[in-house]
Amino acid sequence: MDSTVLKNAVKLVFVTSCITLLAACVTAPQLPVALNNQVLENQQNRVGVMMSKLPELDVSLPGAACLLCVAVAEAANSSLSRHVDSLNAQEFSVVQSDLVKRLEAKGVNVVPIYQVFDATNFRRYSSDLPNTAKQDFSALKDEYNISHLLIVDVQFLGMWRGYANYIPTSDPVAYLKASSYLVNLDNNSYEWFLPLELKKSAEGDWDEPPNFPGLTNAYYQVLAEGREEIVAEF
Amino acid sequence: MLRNSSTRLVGTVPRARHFVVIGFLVLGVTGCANSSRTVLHQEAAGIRFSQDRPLTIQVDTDRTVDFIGQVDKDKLSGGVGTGVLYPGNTAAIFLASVAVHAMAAGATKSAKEQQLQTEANSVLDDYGAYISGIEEGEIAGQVIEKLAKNEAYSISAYNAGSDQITWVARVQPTYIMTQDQRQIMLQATIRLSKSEDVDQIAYQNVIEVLSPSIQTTDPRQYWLQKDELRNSAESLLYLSLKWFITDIMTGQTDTVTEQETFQYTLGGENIYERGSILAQDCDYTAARNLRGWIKVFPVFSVVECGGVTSDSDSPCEGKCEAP
Repeated sequence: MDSTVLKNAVKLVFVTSCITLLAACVTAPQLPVALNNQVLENQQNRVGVMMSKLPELDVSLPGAACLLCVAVAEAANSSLSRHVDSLNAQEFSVVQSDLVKRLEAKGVNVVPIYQVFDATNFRRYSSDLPNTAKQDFSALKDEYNISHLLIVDVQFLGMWRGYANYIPTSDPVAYLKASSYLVNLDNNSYEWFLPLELKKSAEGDWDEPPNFPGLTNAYYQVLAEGREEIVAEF
Repeated sequence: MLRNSSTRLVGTVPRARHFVVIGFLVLGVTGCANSSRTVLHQEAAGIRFSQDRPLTIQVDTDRTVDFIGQVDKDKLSGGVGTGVLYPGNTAAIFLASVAVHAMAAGATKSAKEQQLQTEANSVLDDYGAYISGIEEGEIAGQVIEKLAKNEAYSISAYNAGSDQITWVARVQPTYIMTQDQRQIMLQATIRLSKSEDVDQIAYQNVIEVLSPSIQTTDPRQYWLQKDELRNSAESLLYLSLKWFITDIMTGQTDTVTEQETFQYTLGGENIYERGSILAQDCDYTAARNLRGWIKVFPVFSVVECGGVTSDSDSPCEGKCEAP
């Protein structure tokens, strides 16, 4: 056999193996799990309520797929980025106390946990069972004397604008990405899982530097709607 | 050698010029395509209506009221575009292809916006004949008459031929009907200037007034029977002009109150808005949003408690508690 053909065949097998390996590593996103109300009704249960550290506000520009595209997109949205740096997310952080109040009103034994949730502080957990948490939270069971843990985990806060290489495919929108879940600490399974992805457009035009009032308003809208959607589940 | 360099330069300069022109074109198309057209609140110092300089109000008397359907702008947020391969034979061709891509993307967005508005306007299909009978000038005339009764200075319709020195408020009202047909919202753009120099804007703002949500199984019948649509349009215009006058005369602009996120109902959905509360009474809350616009919305979301009109025979009479 010609050595060039052989080399090409080896390359092809290598590339195919890499792609297969990488594809296998992609985990399916956790689907929503409806709230198991029995957890809240059982007076023996104690529910800890915890929240992740809010991420630094950012402007996400997905679709700007090359280095030059990223540079062009960053430059085109630089004044918006500067403005986003001046915003804060304090209004969202009260979701923890909202949840505590709501659960207490329902007669649930609630333990507010003011330690900031950081997924990297917990061991990874894998199970063949569906709807199980990816981290092992069992250590908190004894530490706080709780049976269940309610977590609000915010992954992204800020603005989002889709791109196709150099060209924006949409106007910027306010963006919140979070997930909230209730974990049974006996078996690390989800008793409730709510993925949340909210995008909100500015009313009227968006391009109003330096204060971007339309987009700023949309930002506060996603904070309020996010809070409402999470708390409304209880 | 020198001659060779010059020859090379002769060809390079026009090419560089093309490059720069196309570069600016790309930046223009991608960066500045969305320059803002939204009216922001502006107010010059020292505006006061008085007997010496009363208020005149100008609307477009030749046209019927402008009604549109409520658009959900979030449908425009789109997604991430697919990767595009640009021809890269030369930098000029590359930049030109990026510019063409930008123009195509802009045209697609405009077309989608128009399509959404056209679809939203279909909510008014059953009202077309009725709306075409409501004249802007007629509604404004009645509102001006009502306003004039309560003020210490005269308020009248603008008369271009008059020699009287006045303030001239040019009002452009647009009414928006929600998709559930239970509410209408007036968006009034108001520009104020002196009669001797109408092009010099002393004040401009947008005042939005929202009607309460009607509770009925047949909204069309509610709006058309007993002229409710027309009456509501008139009431909303009255409230918007009342707030415009209040804004000027009380210097609400200077009132800095803490910003908060307030909530109201529009088209059956909770709407959140950031701003400062200006006033609250039994029927309405007024707030200034981040653009400086004044938003007036009902305290109670349903018409049975808190109506567009606040007459003495209001169903809320005696029941409403100030928040």
